[in-house]
Amino acid sequence: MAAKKPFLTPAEVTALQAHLQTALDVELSTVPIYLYTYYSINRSPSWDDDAKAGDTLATFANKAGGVIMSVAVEEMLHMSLAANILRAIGGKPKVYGRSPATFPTNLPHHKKLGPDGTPYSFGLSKLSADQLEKFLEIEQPEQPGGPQEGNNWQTLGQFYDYVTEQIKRVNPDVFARHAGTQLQEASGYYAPNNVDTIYPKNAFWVKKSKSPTAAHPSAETAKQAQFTNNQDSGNIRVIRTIDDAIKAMTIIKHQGEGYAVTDPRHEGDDKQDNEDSHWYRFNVLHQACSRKGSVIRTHLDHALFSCFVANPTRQMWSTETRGASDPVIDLVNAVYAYLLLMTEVSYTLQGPAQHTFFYIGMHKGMIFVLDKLIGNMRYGSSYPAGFGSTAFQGLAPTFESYRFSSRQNARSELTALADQVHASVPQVCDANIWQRIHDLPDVHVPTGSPITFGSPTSL
Amino acid sequence: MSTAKTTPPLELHACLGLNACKGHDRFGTNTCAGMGACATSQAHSCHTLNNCRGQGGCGLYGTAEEQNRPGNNPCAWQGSCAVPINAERISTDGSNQGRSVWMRARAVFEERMQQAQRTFGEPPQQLTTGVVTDTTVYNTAEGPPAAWLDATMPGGYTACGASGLSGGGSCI
Repeated sequence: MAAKKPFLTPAEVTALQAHLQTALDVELSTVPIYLYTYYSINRSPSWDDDAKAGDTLATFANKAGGVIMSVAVEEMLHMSLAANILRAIGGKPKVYGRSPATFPTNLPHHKKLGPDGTPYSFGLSKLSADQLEKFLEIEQPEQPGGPQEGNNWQTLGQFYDYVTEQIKRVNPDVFARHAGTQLQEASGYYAPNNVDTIYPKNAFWVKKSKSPTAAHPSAETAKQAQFTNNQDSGNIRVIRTIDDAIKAMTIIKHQGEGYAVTDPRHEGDDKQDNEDSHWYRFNVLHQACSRKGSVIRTHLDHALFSCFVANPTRQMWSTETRGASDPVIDLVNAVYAYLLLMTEVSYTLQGPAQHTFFYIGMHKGMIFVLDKLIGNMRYGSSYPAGFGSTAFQGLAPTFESYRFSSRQNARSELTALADQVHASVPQVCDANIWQRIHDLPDVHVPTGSPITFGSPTSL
Repeated sequence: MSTAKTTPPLELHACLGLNACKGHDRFGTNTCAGMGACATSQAHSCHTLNNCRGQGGCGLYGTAEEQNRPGNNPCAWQGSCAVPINAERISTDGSNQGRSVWMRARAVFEERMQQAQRTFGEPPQQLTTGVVTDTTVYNTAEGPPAAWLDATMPGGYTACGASGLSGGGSCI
């Protein structure tokens, strides 16, 4: 029988904390890449509406949107799981300022060169077969027998195998000390599905007027709805033991690359084989996008917003709009940075304060501020005349790093930007979004202070 | 139908058939608990926008727990989705996933009334818009269709999400 390995030394625990921060960074790095491609899609395109080809394209666009958002949601879960493990062994998860500052980028501590000798490079790009190939590279399953790799890793699975082996050697007594400030389970922080992760079997159904006399209207919706994520495929968990940590790592690995390393299809992410892995989902989309002569490949641009150019920057938009776009781009980047700040602060709070802060603050921020701002900024019609060149067709987000002058001033700087954009481009930051930004909690939380929001009646 | 308001609504609730008292629907004309024609709470399009307890809809965003108690959220901003609850809407998460949100809301309401030992009536089975040119009789047995809400609500009706599966349009 092999001798049991000794517990990690304090220096080794510190190194493990750094690896878990890397895991968090990797998961976070994927979020803007996936979100950018998601927002490039018009999920209800109106091209060639009356023809079968138009319906085929619209159905694919809506499905691609649902699939990409479903993966992005699980990447956020993975980030939270890695952060909870890090917190469990005494680390302090850092989220603010950890998203890639610019694009394209490699993933943190990823091998520099791919199998073909070209550098790994992941960027912001519209939906395309090429971009889906990048997604497949991110989610690339490890080969059977692949070595564990703590740095310069080839696949995420190999990196997570290494981290898991290190976790097994942590003194178990460490784990019970930091449960309170982890993101709590059964608090609703993570819902596998929402109206954005699902998609219809047939896009035409969505556009069709619904019968006012239908006997069972919801049953008609249910027949159409395709659910991407399963409710039992893994959720947020508080890490109290080594076993909890291993289970969390397993969720992250399996949801990404599939349950069985030996399955060449890498399809299911669990024993029941009832949720597809990220790699498999992207591969299905990639096949549909790359089939020669297909309607989807030929006409995909009709389902995309044309302003979603590759790796846009604030400077690029500024040049095109003679500076008019600066406040809009700053606001969107600041909202994104503020979401990261709120997440980071949540790991210093407990109980109702954490719940109010993370669930309501994050949810409002993610779905009702960032989502709606990006949704609006994509349309050229949202801007006043003369905003850009005659060819101007809207703005795409840049997801560049935005730094507030201090945590104490972050909220006031964010609301000042909202005020500016609301005044100058009210169709991008409308009254609802403006109010929701003003309702976000202050990330500068003096110890013991209650978490406050704006008045609900002001909504 | 008459839209004359005879009683100011005291109870703010999320939809047709979810009122606990006589005269407490949007039009103030219902004769008994459970028989109201529409919500009295402030209409809103999405999750966390409910002003207070019991004023949230459900189904499009939110947790499994929230989605299992539409129209009965415990506090402001803990409602799970748009109000009123259109008949086409299904829950996207939780034990009611893939089934009618309004039917679940009605079941939760009936349970609450039974616990309070209150009598309640059947919800309206059919409604018209009251618009002279619209002769459609809308089936409301499983909640108000989005088309009826759109025609009767000031500013129309919108639910949220990008997939179009809310049945009430899209807010992005």
